[in-house]
Amino acid sequence: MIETYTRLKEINIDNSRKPGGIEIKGLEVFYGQKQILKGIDLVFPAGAVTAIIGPSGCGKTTLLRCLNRLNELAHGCKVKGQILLDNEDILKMDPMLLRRRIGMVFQKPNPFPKSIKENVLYGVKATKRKCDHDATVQSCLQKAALWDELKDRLHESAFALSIGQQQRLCIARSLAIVPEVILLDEPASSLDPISTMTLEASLLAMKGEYTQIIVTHNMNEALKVSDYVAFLYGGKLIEFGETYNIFRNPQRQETQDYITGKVY
Amino acid sequence: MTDNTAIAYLGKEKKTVMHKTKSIQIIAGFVGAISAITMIMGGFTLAVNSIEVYAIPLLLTLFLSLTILFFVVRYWHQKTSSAVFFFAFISLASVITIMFLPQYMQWSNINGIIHRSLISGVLELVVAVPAACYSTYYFFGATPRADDISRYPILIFCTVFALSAYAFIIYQIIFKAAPYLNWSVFTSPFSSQYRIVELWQNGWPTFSTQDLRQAGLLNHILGTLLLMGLTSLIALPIGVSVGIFVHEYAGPKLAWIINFSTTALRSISGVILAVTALSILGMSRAGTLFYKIIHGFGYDVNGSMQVGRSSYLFASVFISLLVIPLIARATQEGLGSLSKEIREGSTALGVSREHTLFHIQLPWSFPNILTGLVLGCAEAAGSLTIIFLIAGTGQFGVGPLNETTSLAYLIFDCRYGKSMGDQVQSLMGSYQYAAALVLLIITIGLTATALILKNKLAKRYKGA
Repeated sequence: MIETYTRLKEINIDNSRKPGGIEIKGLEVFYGQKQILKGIDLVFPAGAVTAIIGPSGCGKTTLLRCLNRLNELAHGCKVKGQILLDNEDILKMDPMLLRRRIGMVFQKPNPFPKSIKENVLYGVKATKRKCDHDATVQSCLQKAALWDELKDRLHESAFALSIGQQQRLCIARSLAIVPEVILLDEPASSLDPISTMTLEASLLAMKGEYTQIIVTHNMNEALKVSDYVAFLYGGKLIEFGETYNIFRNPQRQETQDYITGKVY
Repeated sequence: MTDNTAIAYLGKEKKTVMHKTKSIQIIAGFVGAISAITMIMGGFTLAVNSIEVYAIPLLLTLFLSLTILFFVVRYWHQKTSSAVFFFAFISLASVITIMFLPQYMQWSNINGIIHRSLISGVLELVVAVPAACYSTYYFFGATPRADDISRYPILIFCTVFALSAYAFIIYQIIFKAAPYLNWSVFTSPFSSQYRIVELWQNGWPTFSTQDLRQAGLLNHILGTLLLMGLTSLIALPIGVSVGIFVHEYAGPKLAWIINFSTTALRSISGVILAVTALSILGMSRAGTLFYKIIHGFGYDVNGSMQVGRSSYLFASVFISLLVIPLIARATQEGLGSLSKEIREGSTALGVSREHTLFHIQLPWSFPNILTGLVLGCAEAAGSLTIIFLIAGTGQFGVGPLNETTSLAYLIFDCRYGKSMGDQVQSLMGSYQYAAALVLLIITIGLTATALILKNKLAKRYKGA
């Protein structure tokens, strides 16, 4: 308890975190009897953007949700193996503290039923992190490429925004807690092409500042945004490498087929 | 046709359509007003048996205005509104029927008059109610989905019928209560007490009594409010907690069991609860503190303690047994209507479960909880099924430990109660409708407040 408290304090003081690297060792995930992930060894380099690609149902989202332990909210989920965040085993950490270091953006935009400003500051207020509120709102919205559109309507309801703006607001919201890693679960899947472009631009602008892990169905997006690509198939990691190499000369036949659209 | 002309054409079309709608609305409003007057006169004729002289001019006017409406609709909508034509035809037929009725009167005087006014009243209603329904369509308009106007009058007929029943009830209560409404009734409590006065006569003390009996509604009104307040104080925290537990913490099997039990509890008849309450009241030993607390006590004008039938606290505990399931269900529905993604979004920010509950989930379900609470308060104010066995006159004060009474109980007591012999009946009998009126005002006021609050809360917390 005391330990938790001191850690909380440390985190509260630390307003400028460095991007954290994640290392996965022999990860196996079961939902009830069904095995979703079958032994995955993978390194997400710090500060880089890594895309996880693969056909539907191959365990991409499960892998992502393991990283901030959201999978534990589901019934009958069992995790074996090791996940290290800066050489610290996250499966032994307090999940609340872990999630304050790892931000997440969901498939569907999920702003809170509050004003835009309160949405950004929600995590800050809830975790009692000390910072200048107005400055935080401004910097987070700027990073998410929203500030110019929304600086005059900060007190309006977040539900009044367009879907694309809502999704970028969700990014701004997760930036406000100063994470080391940002998980993006198909962030552009419900957006129109223009919103997608804006979103991708803001993701590129954040490169280097945070470690980004993005799950995507869209090859184009993976190619544009990511530095590294991990290809998952049937709960196994088939191939991992630099984006250019994976797309130009994949080593494995499955990767080749998936990228060229033969397997879905 | 080029794009520009198409747009210009559309604009013109829109303008003329709006103009037409306005003209139709004015005529339809005229028809509606006449048919409303005809409905009222028809109702009076049926009730009083003598005002049928108004029938002929009214029905004639109705006929004329319906005909105008028919032609207006035909001219502007380019279609025949056969129902309007039909009602106009019936009103003309009714006028002719009523005009020739005097011949029928000649051979039977009293019955003739009664039958004549009955027939003309019925005819007026038969024409006026559908005509009113029909003009409602043109006057207030309808959704685009309701384009098929042939069914609209039939459906609105039920609504007009139901609403007119309510209007009749309110009208009756107001007119029966009106003669007895005076300020002192509302500001003084009911009393059936005699003060014992000590007089010295010839050096000896003698006792006589001073009559303090009076009619009054103050204690009943305050008692109703207190009952509502105590019930919500007990039921709100427990109900919300049950709802949160079932939705957030209990596993599916436990949740099913709790849901089933609360529903079953809700469907228990109030009479059974009342009998249970009565048996608990009977079990306690006289003179103990518990006895006094559950029975309620107060001091009369002579300073002696009077133990009542049951206290407000005891009664509201039993009423809240019926209200808790309502609020629990409402809370559950409110929590369930928040999408799973938003809750996960809060969790993913490293926010504790409690913070999510208090800052996202509960504010979201406030409007639902409020609805449950208002239903519960209406239950507490208006329900007789629990307190009809355990309430009393409540003349010795209003407080959590005083004897229960409420407006609903007073209405019951005036008719059938024997809580004070016949005293309540003789003193308060004429104020039954005044009590009913106050109860009506309290309930309607509560509902109106709740509706306004609900909209405001929904705007504030749901961002709608």
